[in-house]
Amino acid sequence: MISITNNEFEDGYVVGGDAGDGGSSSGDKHDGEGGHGAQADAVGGLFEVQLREISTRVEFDGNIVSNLRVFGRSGGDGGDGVQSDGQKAGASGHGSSIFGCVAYFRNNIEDGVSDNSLSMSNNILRNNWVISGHGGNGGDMHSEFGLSEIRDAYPGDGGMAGIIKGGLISAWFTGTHGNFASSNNTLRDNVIRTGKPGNGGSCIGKACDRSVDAFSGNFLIRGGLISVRELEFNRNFFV
Amino acid sequence: MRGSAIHFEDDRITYSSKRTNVSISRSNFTDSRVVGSAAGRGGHCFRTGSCFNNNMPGGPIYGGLVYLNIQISDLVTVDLVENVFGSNDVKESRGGDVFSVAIDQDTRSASGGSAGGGMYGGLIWIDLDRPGTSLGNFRFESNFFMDNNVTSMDGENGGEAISNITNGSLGGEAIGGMGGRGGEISGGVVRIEMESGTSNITVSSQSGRKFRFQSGNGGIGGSGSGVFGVGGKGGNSGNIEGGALFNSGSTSTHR
Repeated sequence: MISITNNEFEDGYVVGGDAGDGGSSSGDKHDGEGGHGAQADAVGGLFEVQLREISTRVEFDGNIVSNLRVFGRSGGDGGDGVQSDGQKAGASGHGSSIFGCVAYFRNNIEDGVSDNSLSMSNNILRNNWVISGHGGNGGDMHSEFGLSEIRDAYPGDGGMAGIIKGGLISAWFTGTHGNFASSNNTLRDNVIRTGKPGNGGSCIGKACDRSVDAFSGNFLIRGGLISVRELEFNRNFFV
Repeated sequence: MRGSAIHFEDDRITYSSKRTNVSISRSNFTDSRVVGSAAGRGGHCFRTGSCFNNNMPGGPIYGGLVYLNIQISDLVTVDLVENVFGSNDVKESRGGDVFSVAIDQDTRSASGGSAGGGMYGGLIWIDLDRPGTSLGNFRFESNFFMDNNVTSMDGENGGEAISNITNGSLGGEAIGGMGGRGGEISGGVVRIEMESGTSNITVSSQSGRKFRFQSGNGGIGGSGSGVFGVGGKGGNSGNIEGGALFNSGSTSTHR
């Protein structure tokens, strides 16, 4: 039995770190590949419960969370590259993803019969901002060194803005039996927004006639406020 | 660093029917500054061939203020009740600097940057890894948190790689080192781990205001230059799990 009840949190910041940029490559006459920008990792919840075994009941009742600011951060920019025999400038990293910023529940049950339940009632979640990270920009490809044969140039792709799965509450069930019940909750004046996807890189220089356009990034939201995910069967969800 | 204010570790020999009770109540934990120092720089590397990671990550912090480790008792009761945690600032340590330049015609790489240390329970760490038939009770009630900062540090930048061979057809790649991973935060205020047995966890009536939790930035990948230079990959930023209050990892609680 895990009980999280009657807690009150306000005026808090939870901020993920920025991912590093990829390194650039350079050279006098030859090819070089830009390093890939890294991915800004996920930013988790105010409350997080992870379970690994059977038959657990979790109660999340009567909590008040207000004026919480949860900001995912940017994926790294891709490094610049140098033209190029199929070489590519660095792709950029994705922004921070966000899973259940107020509460994140997950059981990691792989074998055997399990019976887990999560109930949440009488909670007030008000004026919270949840913004996932920006995607990084793709690296540029420089191709002005006068190679004897002009080849394709590949600027780096833009990174995806951070995924949001359950901006405020995220529950993820695996195993066999599961129950999720939500009642009498107040979710008001909350802002759930993804970051800005990254821009694709450019080809710069004389040999860009055969440049292959880079993709820009995109984004994904699954359940702006609440997300419930189950991987097997025998679930009952009452929201 | 494990618990700068209170460190409790149950290190007795295994004995049947052991019981352990820990109670921390009505105490003030205020105005503390807990800061880890940076790891030392690895040895200087400037040579033909690869430079390997010889720099250490920053030292992690397990429970900036309080650390409880109880692993062999059959019946455990831990109460943290009516305590005040105010204006505490906890920072973990940076990884060591990188000073490496790899030079070669073959595929060679410079050292990667070191990672930030990681923060596991910014203020409180509780590890109850007990026998399978044991009973554990953890009660965390009516504590007050105000103006607490928990910060993980950045990963270091990766080293630089240089290929100085002029004939590209013979050369390999010179790969810049990967940037170090930013320090993660797992349980900004409290992290609880319970690996086995039957457990009851109660977290109720806490009041928290004006807190800030920030994980570390990833380091920048090192550059690769010369023939077939390849830039190093940037470092991932630090993860945040259970950002503010409560992370019950690996719990095996039975109804």
